[in-house]
Amino acid sequence: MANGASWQVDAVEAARRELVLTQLAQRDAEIGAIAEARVLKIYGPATSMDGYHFRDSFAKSAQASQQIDWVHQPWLRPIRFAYRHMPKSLRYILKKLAG
Amino acid sequence: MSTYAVSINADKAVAKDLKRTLKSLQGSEVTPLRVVIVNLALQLQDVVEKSGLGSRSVEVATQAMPGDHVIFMRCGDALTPNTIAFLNEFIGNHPDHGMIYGDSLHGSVSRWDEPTQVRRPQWSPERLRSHCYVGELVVAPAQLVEQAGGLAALTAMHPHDRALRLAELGAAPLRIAEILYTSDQRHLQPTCSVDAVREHCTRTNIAADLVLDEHLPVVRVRRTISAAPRISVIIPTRGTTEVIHGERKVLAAHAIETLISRSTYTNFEIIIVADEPTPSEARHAIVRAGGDKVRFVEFSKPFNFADKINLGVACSESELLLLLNDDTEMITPDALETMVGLLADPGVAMVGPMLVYEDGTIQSAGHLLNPVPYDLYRSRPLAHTGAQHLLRVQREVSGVIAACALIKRDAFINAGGLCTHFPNNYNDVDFGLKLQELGYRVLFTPHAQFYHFESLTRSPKLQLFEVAKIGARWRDKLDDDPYFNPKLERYVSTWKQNVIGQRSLLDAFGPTAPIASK
Repeated sequence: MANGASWQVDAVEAARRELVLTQLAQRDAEIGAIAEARVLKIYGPATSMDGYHFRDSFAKSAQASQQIDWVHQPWLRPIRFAYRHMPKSLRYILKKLAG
Repeated sequence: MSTYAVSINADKAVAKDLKRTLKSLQGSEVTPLRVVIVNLALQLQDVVEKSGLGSRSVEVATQAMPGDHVIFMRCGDALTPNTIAFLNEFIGNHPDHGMIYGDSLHGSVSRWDEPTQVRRPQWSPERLRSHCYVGELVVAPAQLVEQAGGLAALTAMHPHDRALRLAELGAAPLRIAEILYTSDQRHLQPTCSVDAVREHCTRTNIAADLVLDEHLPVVRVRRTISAAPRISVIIPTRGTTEVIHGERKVLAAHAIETLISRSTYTNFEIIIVADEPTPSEARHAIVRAGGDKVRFVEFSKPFNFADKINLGVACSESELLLLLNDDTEMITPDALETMVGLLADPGVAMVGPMLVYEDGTIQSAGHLLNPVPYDLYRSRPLAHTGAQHLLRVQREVSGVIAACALIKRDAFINAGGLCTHFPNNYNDVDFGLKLQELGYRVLFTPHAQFYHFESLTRSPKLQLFEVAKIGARWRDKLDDDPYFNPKLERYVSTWKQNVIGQRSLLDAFGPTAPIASK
């Protein structure tokens, strides 16, 4: 196998590899079955990922900060400026009212 | 129902702090409380007498254990009215518990200010070695307190020292996801004690050099490795060529070249799992980069990342496996030593490094599962320390990205390898959860760093069947990541609750995109 040569696979080696892969798959299925039975018991049969709405997930290049970044809209700047320079007590009241 | 003693160290305390703490105990009516005060100065005895605790006795140090549980707290902090009720309920449900800790409120409570909530993750032993993330209030059974050094001695200790000693004994510590105390300390970052960690390492036979961070109260436990076991580096590739650092390169060759030239750990072989259409020029480049260390395994089936990794592992024999994407580059020369050292812990099965984009921002600092899996702090600057210094500590996580992860071979086999039902995405999330299911721990370390030029190899896209499968298998785990907190929401800082006006994007767990890498 020196100098990056491809591994010359004989029948015995191929069978050994196949056996390892089969064993891995069997073990994975065992653990998966236990986990799936537990999820089924907790959530019932019709759940899977219901409610997670993956179709609304962000694109890989997008960030949450972009999604909620409405506070930096240009038209909001003067309002934001005024809000940030209000007395603290007034800001607190506004914040609570908004919430 | 349990009886509790509250133990306070009054060393260097001022009257105001002691009054605040004693006053908070008046509100706890559930069970009789006794208060033990260690290092009480003469001038503060008056405060104790006037505390109004009535029939509850206040003792200044004691030999006898005045209850079946001890609540250790800082002088100046206050129990919430519900703390004892929470503890009673929790202890009733977990009779064989060890140390218990919980969440806290920090900052001055005034008319116009809301205190910050510090929400803590579940038990994370590796993290406790770095800093006292459990906070300054811990509860322990009296028997455990005796074993750990006694009431007076533990009360007088640094909180980090106390937590480490209590955690070493008895059952694994547990977290109550409720506010157990309020603190007037605005400073809410965890503290640390190098001496405490050094003594802990001695007691637990961890051979390590300890390094205190230059800027933060964080200890790095750098384990010394006595042997350098052989590592099989598994690199799946199809011979992609892309521009890296301004030059067009064969990705796998670049990954191998940097690994060999930079790593101070040399005992490894490299197994290239190559798709059949891999161009011969790319194969030659890989051979030139890796020399004798490289060998090829041909993969002739349709693309399946999990299948390729499993095949690579089946063709290897080393006791440690490094899964490495071809679009990576080693940054820290001692990355492999750091990760191998962490695997010396028999309970740890997998370690993941900090992965960094080419522009120097974070690609992954471990996974977080709630409510869908994603990479922690993706796209944040590498200099960012994270909420509660999360990005500066080695810690337990629910999973790490398979783009770079060091795994014990026996754990990989025992967990059934990567699940081939996830050909593109979530195979690493699934694998991390399988390891947890088997009782192993998965660690993230910021002290080992690799570049990950993600998405240069192919366009990742979530497949509906992968989403359905991960939910069918692990929805309960996705709903409650132990290294998160059930009181927190996504997009909101992990340790600050969603309070209007107090959202901090810098502190927030960022991003954002579900994990769709490799």
